[in-house]
Amino acid sequence: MQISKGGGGLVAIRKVVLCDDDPDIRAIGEISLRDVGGWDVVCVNDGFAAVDAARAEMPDLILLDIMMPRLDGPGTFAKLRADPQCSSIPVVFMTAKAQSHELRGYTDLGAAGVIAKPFDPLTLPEQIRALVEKQ
Amino acid sequence: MTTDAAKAAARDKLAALRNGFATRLRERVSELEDAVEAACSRDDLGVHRTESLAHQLAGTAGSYGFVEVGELSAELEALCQAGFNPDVARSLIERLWTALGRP
Repeated sequence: MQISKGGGGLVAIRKVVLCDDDPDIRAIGEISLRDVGGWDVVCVNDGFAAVDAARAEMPDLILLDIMMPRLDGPGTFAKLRADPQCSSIPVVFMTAKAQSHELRGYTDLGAAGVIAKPFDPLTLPEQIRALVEKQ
Repeated sequence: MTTDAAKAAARDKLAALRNGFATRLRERVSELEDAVEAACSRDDLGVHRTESLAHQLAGTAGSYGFVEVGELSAELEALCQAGFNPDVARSLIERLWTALGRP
């Protein structure tokens, strides 16, 4: 688990757990969320670690990759929703598969939204905030 | 939200990350090429591995600004899902190398 501190901000999101098995996505996501968004960022590389991080860090948001080995995004989401400690934490999925019918499926699960990859690291925090505020 | 100065600093960090990613990109395309060749030998595991590697590259390369590499990788992933065609797959690999600057 890797934690990096941001400068905080004037919004409700202060701490985010970023879960992706790709280290390049974690690296660029961390800079985006911390340095552009101003949020504290906890980076993890699989779904099981995301559940542990959610319990330990009580983030304001979890950004969750969909295709991951061992425990995929939807499986991780189900575990989070089943845990009373974490069940109310908003989850935004990230995926390179962004067909509209698939997007609806993920939001039907109860996620706050879906971010399509590739994403623009300079506008990612803004996209996330818009999804959470919409919810 | 962060200040313009913080955004400028973020841009510098992103540029440094991008340079690092660029040096690893050739290795990733080479790995993808090996997977495609295995798939061309009618190896089902090769098709699965090609799809997995292409999927990762499709999402990552574009985020680092390598838009064409990301798009070509997405095409290769779609090819694996729709029905693997060796000629099309090899053509996509050649286009990937061209996008990276290898003739």
